[in-house]
Amino acid sequence: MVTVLRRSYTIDELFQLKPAAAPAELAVNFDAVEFCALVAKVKEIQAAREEEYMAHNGGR
Amino acid sequence: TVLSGEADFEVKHPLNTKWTLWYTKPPVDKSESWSDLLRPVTTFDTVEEFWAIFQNIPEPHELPLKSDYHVFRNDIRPEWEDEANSKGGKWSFQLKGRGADMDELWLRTLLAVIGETIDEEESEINGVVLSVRKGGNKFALWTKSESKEPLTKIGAKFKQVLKIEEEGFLEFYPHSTANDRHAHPSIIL
Ligand SMILES: [Zn+2]
Ligand SMILES: [Zn+2]
Repeated sequence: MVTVLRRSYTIDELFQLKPAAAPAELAVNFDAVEFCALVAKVKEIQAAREEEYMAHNGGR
Repeated sequence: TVLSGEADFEVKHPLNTKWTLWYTKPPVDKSESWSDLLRPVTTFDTVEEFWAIFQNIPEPHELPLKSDYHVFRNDIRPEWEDEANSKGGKWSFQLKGRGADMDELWLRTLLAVIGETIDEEESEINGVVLSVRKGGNKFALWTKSESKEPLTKIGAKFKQVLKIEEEGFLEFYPHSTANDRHAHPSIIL
C-alpha cells in the first residue's frame, strides 16, 4: 500500500507563513497591476452609470 | 558547490494541490459573453505563492458589484457543467449585514480550503466562490458529491471558519437544481 502524504496547514500555521515583505516586493506570476487596473476601471464605469441614472431619475 | 547563503534557497511550503484563481468581471457592455467575463487570473501551489497573490489583488470590499472570485483545484473550471462538479453541489452562505467582516471571513475560508482543514482525508472540496452582489455578498463552497454525511461534516467546519454558532445560516444546493429558480436546499445547517 502506498501512503500519499496529504499536506495540510491550519489557518494559524498559514498566518505564520505570511511574508513580512510589502505586497509590491512579492513576486507574482501574473500582471497584478493590470488586473487591479481592470477592476478599478469596472468600478469607475459602474459609478459613472449610477451617477447618470440618479441625474435622470432624480433619486435621493 | 556550496550554497553561499540562506537567501539562495528559499524554502517554499507546498500545498496539497495546485489552485487557480478566476475572476468574473461584471459586464459593462452588451457585447460581452460569459466567456469574455470569466477568466483565469493565476495559479499557485505553495503557501508563499498564495500570500504573494492574495496581497496583490483587490480585497472583496474593493470589488465592483457582480464580481466573483473563484479559487478552484487543479484544472476544474468554476462551472457546474465541468465534469468534476457535475455530481456535486455547493454550501452557500450569505453575509447579511456582516459586510464589515467580509474580507476577514473570505480570507479564513480560503485558508481553510487551500490548507485542506475544512475536510479530512480525501477532499470533497473542488473550489470556493465569492460573489459580490447588491442583495448581499455570498460565499459558496463547491463539492464533488452531494452525499449527506461528508457534506454535513464539511458544513459544520465551514460554520466554525465563518464563526457562526446559530443554526440556519448555511444551505446546500446540489448543482442538479442550478437551473431551478425555486430550488430548496437539500441540507440546512
Ligand atoms: Zn508554483
Ligand atoms: Zn418553493
